[in-house]
Amino acid sequence: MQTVIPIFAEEAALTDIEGKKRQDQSKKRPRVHEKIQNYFRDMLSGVISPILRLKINRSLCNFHCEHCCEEPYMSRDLKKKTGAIDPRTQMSIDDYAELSRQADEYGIFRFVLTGGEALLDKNLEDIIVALDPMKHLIILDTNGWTFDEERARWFAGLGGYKVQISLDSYVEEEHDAFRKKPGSYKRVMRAIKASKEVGLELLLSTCIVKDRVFSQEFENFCEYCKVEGIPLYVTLAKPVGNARGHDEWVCTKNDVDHLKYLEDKYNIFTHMTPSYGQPGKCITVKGINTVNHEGEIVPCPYMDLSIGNVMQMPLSEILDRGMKDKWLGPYRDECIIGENFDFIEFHNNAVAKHLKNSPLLPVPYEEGFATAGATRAESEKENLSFPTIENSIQETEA
Amino acid sequence: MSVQNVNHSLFDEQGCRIPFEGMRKFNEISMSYYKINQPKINFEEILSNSQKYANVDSNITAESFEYTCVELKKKIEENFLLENLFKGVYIPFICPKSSSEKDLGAELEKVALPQVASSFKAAYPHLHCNATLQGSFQLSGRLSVSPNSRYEGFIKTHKDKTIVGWYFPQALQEYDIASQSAQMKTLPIHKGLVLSGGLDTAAALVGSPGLLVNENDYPPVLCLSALKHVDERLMLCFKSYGQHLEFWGMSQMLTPKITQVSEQWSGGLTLFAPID
Repeated sequence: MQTVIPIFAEEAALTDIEGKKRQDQSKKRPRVHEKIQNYFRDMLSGVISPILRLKINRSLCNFHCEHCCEEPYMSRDLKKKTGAIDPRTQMSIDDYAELSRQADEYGIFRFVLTGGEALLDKNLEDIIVALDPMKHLIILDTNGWTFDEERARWFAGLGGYKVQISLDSYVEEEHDAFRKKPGSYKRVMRAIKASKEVGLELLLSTCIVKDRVFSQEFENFCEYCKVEGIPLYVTLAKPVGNARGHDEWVCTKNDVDHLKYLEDKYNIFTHMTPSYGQPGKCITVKGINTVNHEGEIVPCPYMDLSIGNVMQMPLSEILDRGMKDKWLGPYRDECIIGENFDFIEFHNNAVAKHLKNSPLLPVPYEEGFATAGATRAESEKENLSFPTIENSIQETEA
Repeated sequence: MSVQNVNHSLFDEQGCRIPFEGMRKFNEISMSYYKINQPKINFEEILSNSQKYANVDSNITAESFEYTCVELKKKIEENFLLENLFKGVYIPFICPKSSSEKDLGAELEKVALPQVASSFKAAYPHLHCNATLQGSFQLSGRLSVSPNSRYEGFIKTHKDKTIVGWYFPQALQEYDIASQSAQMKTLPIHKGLVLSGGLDTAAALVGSPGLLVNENDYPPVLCLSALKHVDERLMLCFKSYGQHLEFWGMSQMLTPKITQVSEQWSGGLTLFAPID
């Protein structure tokens, strides 16, 4: 008795939807299509093309969510702690244009705009134009509060590609309570409708804490997304930001395994789901990097440690440095900031030490990753010729 | 430097190869983050799975399977250089003699992988077992035996004999692929001790389909480093995805100039003997 096990190549491993989207880009955005093709050609050689997630406008937000990892970056939080807002210079429109140029040169084709709530930024239109929606897929992250049909048309008209809307429970009261914003569930539903109306790509994102994946609410949520044809992006609650110290929220392998099981049943995914022919793995540096408002690049949406500032050194050098870091570059299955307590301890200790001297996050490279001894001398060695040592014992037959 | 100068086991108390200078290993001393739980050895069950899903000769008995494995174990433990091997995880396996496929890649693709999938799906019908190759659609005609691996010995025996033995999945955990092969140069030449490849690892998974199923800990990625793909950027492996089982041909390149040294990648060693 044998089970057929066809071998998929990366092209065949693309879902129908991924394949169709790629075809669409060849007509709508030829440069994006070219970069995607180049990435597929070169990924075996170790070439990466991560998403750059831009946290704009000092992470200003109109919500006060219970689990928010952004609160320490917000002016309202800094004002409470220090009486003043973040004094660091924000990236200007010209800086974003330069980042776009460097990203394009590197082969990057995706930007996510986020905050806080990106739609609160009065300069959002200028930023989108500076990023160049013909050269990059522009994805807008929103809580949906102001994303009505008019806003959706505006975003689509600018060349926006996709909207990612946060919905943290399929139960209206639970979502509103979690988000501490009555009426927010209804606004999300309105934003979903508006996005569909104007033909934007759409996905919902939801944050899970330990055990939520086993709840009926989560199953119902998955079912809703399946019926509506909306992909559900699942993020794991991390013990950072407002959640620092809430280790009880941290998902276990059991939670994550169940999510992976549900991926075969529903259109749900995490940042570690196999996609574009790549195996599921931690995506630090190679999959997604956050660019803070002053240019610090953080190798994951949920970390507070920088790998370099793009206002001070080239993007390519920062990414290269990140890939050579022991924690960040090499292959590993688990989400290190969501599951690996050794890394969480290192991360949170570095953050705590830094916060004694400065309230401003992220922790600069020199005080975080660089001091951990995490960049291994070995990883900087190019492929070694091996070894000169030779066995000289003759056969010791068993 | 010669291993003749070494007066202790080449393996540590966890059964992991102690690195020689120059080898690329993630941690000098492993943190053991990626784990395989040592299963309780059940020769009867392993043989039954292997006969059911891999067409192992039905005349072979559990007693002869166990006897041959136990003898192999005794003899390896007599060699002080190798004696700690059994302090790590060890899995008995039985591998059928060669199918009609003469090509290594074709045999893996058309025979061994489907056998692994059959066994896994029978044990875990709600989970998936699939295979993906980056940059290629097929293994046929694209695999050869990796230099230094000593795997030729396994292939030669496999041609006309059923093979039994032990698979040590974590003996070379945290080494890069090149180091897994290179360290073989420093092992004493012991007939039947080879770097693990596709057929032996597949046989171990057919016999013990739950090897990588672990609810509490992440298991290592099982590298098939005795096999070399024509595209040298590729490494072949079995890995879990959640509780699912997957076969991958994935890039071993960290950057365009540097190969990976992953804490999770694990080369294996295989100790084998023919059985009649």
